[in-house]
Formats: sequence, structure tokens, C-alpha cells
Amino acid sequence: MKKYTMNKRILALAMVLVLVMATLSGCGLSGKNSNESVASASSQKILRIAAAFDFKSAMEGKTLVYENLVKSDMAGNFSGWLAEKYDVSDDGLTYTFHLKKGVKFHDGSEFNAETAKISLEYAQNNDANLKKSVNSIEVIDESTLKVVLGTYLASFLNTLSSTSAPMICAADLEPAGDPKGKLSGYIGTGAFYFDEATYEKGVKAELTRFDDYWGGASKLDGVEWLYVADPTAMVVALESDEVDMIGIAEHHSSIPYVQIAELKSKGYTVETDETGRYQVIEYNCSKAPFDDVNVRMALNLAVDRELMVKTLFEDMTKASKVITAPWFVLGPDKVDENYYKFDQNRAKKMLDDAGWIDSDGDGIRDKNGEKLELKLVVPQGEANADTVSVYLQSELQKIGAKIDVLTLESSAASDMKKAGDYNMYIHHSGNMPSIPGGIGIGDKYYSTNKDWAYSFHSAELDGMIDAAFTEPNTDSRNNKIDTLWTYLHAQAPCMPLYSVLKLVACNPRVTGYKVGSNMFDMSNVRLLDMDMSK
Amino acid sequence: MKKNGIIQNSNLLMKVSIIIITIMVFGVIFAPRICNFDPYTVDLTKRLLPPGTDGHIFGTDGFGRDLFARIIYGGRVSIGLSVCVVMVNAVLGLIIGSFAAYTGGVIDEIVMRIVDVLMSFPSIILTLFIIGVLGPSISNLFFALIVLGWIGYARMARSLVLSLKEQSFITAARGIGCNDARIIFLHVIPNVMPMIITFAALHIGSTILVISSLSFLGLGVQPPTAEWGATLSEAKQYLSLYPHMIIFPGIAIALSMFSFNMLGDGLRDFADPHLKKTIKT
Amino acid sequence: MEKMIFRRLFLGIFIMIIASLLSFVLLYLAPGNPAENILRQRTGEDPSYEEIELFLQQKDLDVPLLTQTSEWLYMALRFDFGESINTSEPVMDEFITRFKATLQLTLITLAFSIPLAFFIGVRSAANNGGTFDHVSRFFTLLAMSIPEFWLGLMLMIVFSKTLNWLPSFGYGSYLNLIMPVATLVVGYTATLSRVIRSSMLENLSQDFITTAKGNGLSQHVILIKYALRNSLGPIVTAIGSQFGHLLAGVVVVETVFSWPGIGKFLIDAVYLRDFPVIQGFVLLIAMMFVVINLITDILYTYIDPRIRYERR
Repeated sequence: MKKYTMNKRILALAMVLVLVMATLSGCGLSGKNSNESVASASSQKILRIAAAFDFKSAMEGKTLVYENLVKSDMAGNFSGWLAEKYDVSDDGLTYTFHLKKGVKFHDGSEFNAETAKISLEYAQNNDANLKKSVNSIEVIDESTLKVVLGTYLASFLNTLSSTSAPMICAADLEPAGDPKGKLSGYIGTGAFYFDEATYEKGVKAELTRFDDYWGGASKLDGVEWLYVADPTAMVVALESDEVDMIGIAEHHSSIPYVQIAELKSKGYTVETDETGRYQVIEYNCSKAPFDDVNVRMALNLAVDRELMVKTLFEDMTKASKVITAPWFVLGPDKVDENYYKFDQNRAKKMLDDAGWIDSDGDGIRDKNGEKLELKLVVPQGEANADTVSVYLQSELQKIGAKIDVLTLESSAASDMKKAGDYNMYIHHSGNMPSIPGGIGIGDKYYSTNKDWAYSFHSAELDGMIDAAFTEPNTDSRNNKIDTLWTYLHAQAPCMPLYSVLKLVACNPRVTGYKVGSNMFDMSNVRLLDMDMSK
Repeated sequence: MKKNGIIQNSNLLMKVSIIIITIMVFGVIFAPRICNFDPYTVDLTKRLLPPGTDGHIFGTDGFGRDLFARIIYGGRVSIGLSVCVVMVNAVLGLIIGSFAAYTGGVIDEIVMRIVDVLMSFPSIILTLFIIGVLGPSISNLFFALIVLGWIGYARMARSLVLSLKEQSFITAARGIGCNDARIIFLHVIPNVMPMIITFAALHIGSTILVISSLSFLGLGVQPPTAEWGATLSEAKQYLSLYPHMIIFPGIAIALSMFSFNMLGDGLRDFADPHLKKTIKT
Repeated sequence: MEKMIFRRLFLGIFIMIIASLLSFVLLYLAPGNPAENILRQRTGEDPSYEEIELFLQQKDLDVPLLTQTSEWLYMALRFDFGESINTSEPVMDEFITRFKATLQLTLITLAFSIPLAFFIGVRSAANNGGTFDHVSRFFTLLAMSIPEFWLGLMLMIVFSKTLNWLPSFGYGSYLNLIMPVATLVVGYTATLSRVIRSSMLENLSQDFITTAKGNGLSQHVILIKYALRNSLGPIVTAIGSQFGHLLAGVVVVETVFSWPGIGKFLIDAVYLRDFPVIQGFVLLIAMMFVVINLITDILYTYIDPRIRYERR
């Protein structure tokens, strides 16, 4: 009995404590559900996007607000955007842009050649390639701009179409109009405008439809950018109708393929965009065993990529049969797609021929007393790398190769790569395929590349790359690139694995999804519509 | 009467926890004999089997690896690593703490200021910081857990030694000409051991949790190594379709922590009640 | 008392200097630089040498780390921690925004777990060896054995996904608080209630309690007036240390529930090698700890007049 009175006192004390602390800490709380705005305004078409990064630190979000002079499609074909059309001189050094008329910035000011010039100068200050190559930017008239390059830059249009070269409003620079200044607001020409007042650090940002958008105002009233840190939470948020769309705000989705497959089976719309980013295993070709092309080839034949994709990735992506996407303009479309066809018997024979034989019967091949033990370096955070390394380990064991997986903090892994302290390195190629050089000289297999000094290099290949990427004529360039690809595939410089997809899953009420021009581009959100009755 | 109650009760709980821990330790040591399957053999034709199929007691995971074997072998890492961490910390803390207290003076002052500094820093942040900087691996995890782990033991050993120092048998030992090292190892350390062991049992439990939490966040043990937190992390994606994958490793973590906590708690009741103050969790 | 405060403050400054030095040494030893890591996160590709150089130039990072740090120290003395390399926002602003969120979570967690822990702890001490004691011992030990990440995930699956009652992420409303707080309350209540119980039991076995009992005082008076009052010192210390650890240690919960707190932000900064953020946050967190410890100590002397801080 007495015990009870005591408990009552303690309870009373506790209640007071709770109240005091709750009021103390509750000052910042509004008490309203953050989803209320959506529930109450069913007529308002606000697209709620779950994003793995804060609005301001993600590149993707900027594509909703800013636009570029030119645009590319996934395959790498360029067309005009804010520049209605453009001309290139025969030597590939002079570009003339004819700008669209009637394009307005979010603050109501007009987009013209003068602002385009400032924007490009601003971009030049922030992009190493432009800084190096652009000689002069000249305003011809109100809507014509001429850019002269000092040296030929194969990736010029690609840079112009990327987030490195947005068209910005001169007044938005601090000090105003100074291309060396700091960009303060988010004033662009895009279909949505960003209001600083709605931005909550690490929580959300709201974007509103821009009614004066030159391409016609969006059907959506706005976009809500909601930060969700954890991939599992993202899926839960979609399923509990707290967000409408996941995956679009990341260059490739952090959500596991298994869960995407599950969402698909539950009736959610799932879009898989092949962006040409391939996950590959790079070989260290400077030392044994990968200085021998037969060993490289044997390993390429020993891995069943189709089975890997079908089972471990729930058939959500595609196995890579060649080094880079064949549908890419500069891709290896002439290379036989059965070049690295899975055949473990052939792989074993190739290793036998190369002198790697299991002489002591321990299941691991050896040669001159060295075991076929390979160090696979995995940079932390590389998507699906855990899965891939476990699978490779088990597959390659079957042909007598032992894989030691070493997961490292990404900078440490990168340092190891630069020092050549690896046999295999798991890696993904650039968004538009960068192999070899793809859209610029100097990638992976070019001998002067300091990042990939231990990859496959040869004087022959350097010559081929030089010849191809200084050729301004498209047809003859493509021919040169095809020979280059044939040569490179025969050398098996890496083990292509699968295509890293951009996966977008959305509530069925969202319709009209269209793939962006690259994996960062989400400007096509403006084309979406929502059926709020669903 | 009530005192009896505690002891009887903690006796029972301790018995249970000792039995569980013994079973786990046996499982961990004789893992190759207990498991019918290898925890690292991938078989894509046998993926995601429910518990009980084809001899897979707990079913299989996304790679077709036997989940039972992965949990048993995972115990090797989870429990083994925790025990190692705690042992190193205990020895380190014991030596530093008793040395500081025994010699006293400037050395004691310096050691205690270092302890103060390290104590005043959030351990989880420091652990995450070290791993974030050095990268995820078992050795870095080990290092990160030792940087702060010894402090508790050092403080405890110090206060115990300080109270022992003035007691008659130590004074007597000194009187008959024993040197300091001899006194520390023969008289001081054996006397503080019971308390240290009690603290260590509780510490093993919490270390298992820290290791699995870090592995779950991808900062600890890396695949393909079987470890409970890492296994849970891999299972997360199969959560709604194949819940068995997340339930078993979860139980393994909770059960082992629970038994070590029980053991520590029981040991505490046995230990001298006047020394209770020093082993607050 | 004043002496103790001064001594503590002096030690606090010493601690903050050591913490800054420690984080500096660790960062100095670490592989990678902010340019490389930030660019890699943004594009998902390894940046080229040219890109890294340009970025370093733009952010004035092309000077040795030692120079950067000495400049930073000079600025930090005037409470200016510079700008985040990643977000280009003042570090102090970043800290304040996120600290508010963490403080909210921490205070509300304590507001629930302290009274609950007192209830459980005091009652099981009073009931020593009885049913309530046994049951509460079992459950508190069980609660201490449940990993936070696992509990958080399970709550989310049940209350967001299956029942659709609570939001799975977000910040700003009371509803957003429920699951993160619940996840934290379980473990912290259990730990604290065990401290309270053992501290109470220790006092209950002391001579003055026996005397009080002999004088015929009621159990209620003995428990509250004597045992609890005398146990408050260690309990306050335990709460203080829990408060400190909660402020910094809710990283797991912040990640699971996308809570915009300091822990997650600091860890992300470590990955990005965002030096000003790391240095600033480490210093501010250390300072927070110093302040909390000081308050705890002052409270301790206030509660327990036997301690006068004459010697220490």
C-alpha cells in the first residue's frame, strides 16, 4: 500500500519532468504532420521525391532549375537546347550558337547572348577542360554567340550539356555579373524554381512550377525534395505513400535490385534507365599474372555474368558482354557480343597453356612457385561490389584461382590503385562511356593517365586513340574507333560485369516518365503528370 | 532473507547464462564439426531456401550459403573478436591503472588527466571517426575499440588499488622487502581481478553490440567474412520476402549479449557490495 | 566550489585542444583529400588530376594541411570555424541547425527515460528479490541486448510500412519523433534503471538505513528521504554521461530515420574529408561535453553536500 503512494509521487514527479523537457525541446516543433500539405491539397500536384542527398549538395537537383545550351541523349548524340541550333567549323575549333528567343529566367529577366557569355565564362572558371581549351567567347548579336577553342576538345559539347556549364542569370552572381563571383541563388531557366525560404538543411526543399517556362509550364504544381538517408527507409516511404518517386535523384539507385524487383511485383511503376555506366574489374597489367593476355582472357571467360544478373540482381539489369555500351555513339558496336562468352573449360585450357597448372593439388594453380592468388581491391561504397566480389570468388575458385577481397576506404583504395598495389580493382566507368577516352583523350588505357598507370597500355593503342580523337570528321572517326575497340577487346584489359542502371520506382499515380539525357539529368520531371484520384 | 533471494535468483540466471555461453563457445570452437555446410560456399541454385530445407537448418541466404553455418562461424568473429578486445583492454587498463595508483604522484596525475581527456569524448564518434579515416577492416575495428576501451578498467583498477594500498598485507609485503613489481603482480592484481572480471563480462556484451552495429553500417567486418552484424546487413534487402534471414542473426546477437549481461550482473551480486560503486555500467 | 569550476574549465580547454590535435593528426594520416572525395561523391566517378587541382584552387586548399590548420586555429580562437568545403556554408550555421535537431531528440528521449528509469529502478530496489525485481531485471537486460539499428528497422517496418501510422522519415512534427525516441528510450531506460537500482541497493545496506528502520520510520520515507536522496549523486553523474553520449551517439538512429542531426553529418564529413566541418564539429562537441560534465559536477555537489571539492 505504502509502496503505491510512493510510486504515485514518483509518477507525478516524472510527469512534471516530461512536461518541462518536452516544452523545452518542443519549441521548434510545429505539431503538424509534414505530409499534411499533400493530404489536404489533393488538387495540388506536388511530386514528392525521396533523395539520398540534400538538395544543395546533389548535382541532380540542379537540373530541375538550370538548363544548358545543348543537350545530349543517352547514346551521346547532341542537339540544341537553349541554343536552338549550333554550327561547328570543319576544324572543330569554332562553335556558333544561335540562341532561342523568348527564354526567361525565374526572376523575369531575358536570356540572351550576353548572359550566355557570362554563364560560359563562369563555367570556364569551374571546369578544368573548358579552362584549358576555350580561347574566346564572343557576342555576335542579341542571340548569337561564338566560341573559339584553342585546341580541339572532343568532349566540348558534352561538357556544355553537363551540370558543369549551366545557363545562369548574371544578376545571381555575387558581385553581380562577375563570372569569377559566387553563385548565390538558384535562378535558372528551368521548369521549376527554388525558393530559399522553403529549404530546410538536411530535410527538404520545395520547388514550384515556373509558369513562364519557354517550353510550356509543367503539369505538376511543384516538386518536393525530401532527404531520406537509408535505402530501406526509402522503399518503406514509397510503400507507405510518403513519397511518390524514389531513385530519380541519384545517379544510380542505392536501392538494392532485390527490393526494386519486389516493388515491381507489387504494382509500382519501375523504370530502368541504361546509362552506359558499366561495372568492370580492372586488371593490373604491369605484373604477373595479368601481364599475360591469356590469363586476362581466361578470367573473362570464367565468369557467368548472365547467371549473376539473373539470380543475384533479380534480372533487373543487363550483363555486359563488351567493354562499354555498344549503343553508345562511340561504342564497340562492331565487336562480337559472344567475344567473352562464358566457357570455363576454355578458360581452364587457356590457363593450362599459359603455364598456370595446379602442381601440388591444392586446387589453386601455380607457376614457377607462385600461386594464382589475386588481390581484389574494393573501394568502400562501390555499389553491389560486395555481391560481385563474393560471386567472383566462388566462380574463379572453380578454375583454380584464389581471390582475396580487400575492402578499403575509397581514398585508400584509390591510392592503392595509383601505386599499382592490386591485381584486380572493382570500378565503374563514367556515365557516358569513358573507355578509352570515349569522349576525351586521356582515360584509363591511355599511357599518360596517372590514375590508371598500371592498366593495360601499349604504344599501339596510344597511336590509335590519338588518331581517333583528333579526327573532327564523324564517319572516319567512327571507323578509327571501331578498329580501336577490336584491338582492345582482343587484349582483354578488363572484365566487364554488368550495366549499372539508374532505377526509378514510382507510385502508379505518376505518369509520363521519360529518361533523362544522362544519369544526372532529372529535368524530364517537368513532363510528368499525376492522377490525384489514385 | 532477501539477500538469500538475490543470490539464489542470480544463481539460477547465472547458471542459464553460463550454459548458453558454454554452448556458444563450444559451437564457435567446434564450428567445422557442427556445421554440415561451409559458410562460404556459394550455390546459386540453392538461394533463399526457407529454414529446414535440404538440411539447411536456418535456410540459406542470397548466395545459397548455409545460414546456420554462417551464424556459427559468425560467432567466431563476433564473440571471438569481442573477447579479444575486452581481454586486451582489461590487461592494458589493469596495468596502467594499478601502476598509476601504486606509484602515485606525477605519474598518477598524468595518467588520470589522459583518462579525463579520453573520457570526455563521445566514444562512438571517436570509433566512427577512426574507422572513417582508416577504412573498414577487422584490424582497424580492433584498434578503434582499444583506443577508448581500456579507460574503464584503468579507472576501476586505480580506485581499487588506492583502497588496497594502505591495507595491512601490502604494507607487510613492503616491510619484508618485496619490490614494487612483485607487490603489484602477486598481491594487488589478484585482489582486483574479481571486479575486473565482472566488468569484463558486461563489457563483452556491449562490445558484441558495437561490433555488429558497425558492421551493419558497413564500417566493420567486410564481406564475405561471416559476422552477425554483416549478415544482418546483407539480409536487410530481403527483409519483407525472406524474414528468416534477418531473424536468426538478430537472435544470435541478442541472445549472446543477453547471456553476457546476465553473467556480468550475476557476478556483480557475488562481488563485494562495498565495491559495487566502481562498476556502474 | 569556485576553485573546482576554474579547475574544470581549465581542464576543459586542455581537453578541447587535445581533441582538435587528435583529429588533426588522424586527418593528416588519412588517405585522400576533400577535393577527391567530394567530387567522387557528386559524380560517382574518380575525378581526374586536373579536376582535383582546380577544386583545390577554388577552395583555397592548395596549401599544406599544416598551414591550413594553423590558420584554422587562429580563426577558431575568435569562434570562426570557416566554411564547409562541401556545402560552402559556415560551419557554425551547419552546427547550429543540426545541433537543434539532435538536442531535441536527446531531451525528449531523456524526458521519457529518466522518469521511467526512476520508477523501475526505485521499485525494483524496494522490491529487492521479489517478482517485480526479477521481471524488471529480465526485461532491462533484454532491452540492453537489442541492437538499436535492428529495433529501429523493425519499428519502421511495423508502424510505417505495415500499419502506415507513422512517417518513416522526416523532421519537424511530433509524429516524426515517435519512432526515433522509442528506439532510444528502450536502451537508455534499461541502462539507467540498473544504475538507479544498484545505487539504491548500496545505500539501503548502509548503517543509517538500519538505524532509520530501527527508529520505526516507514519504508516509504526510508526509500525516498534517505536511500534515494543519498543515491542521487551517482545517478546524476550517470544521467550526465548519458546525455553527453546521446548528443553525439545517436548516429545509428539518425541514419535509420533520416534525422538531420550532428552525428550523421559529422560522419559524412569524415568520409568527404571536409576538414573545416570535422575540426569545428569535434571542437564544439568536446566543448559540449565539457559543459555537461561541469554542470553534472556542480549538481553533484549541490545534491551531495558531503562533497566539497576541497582536495580535487
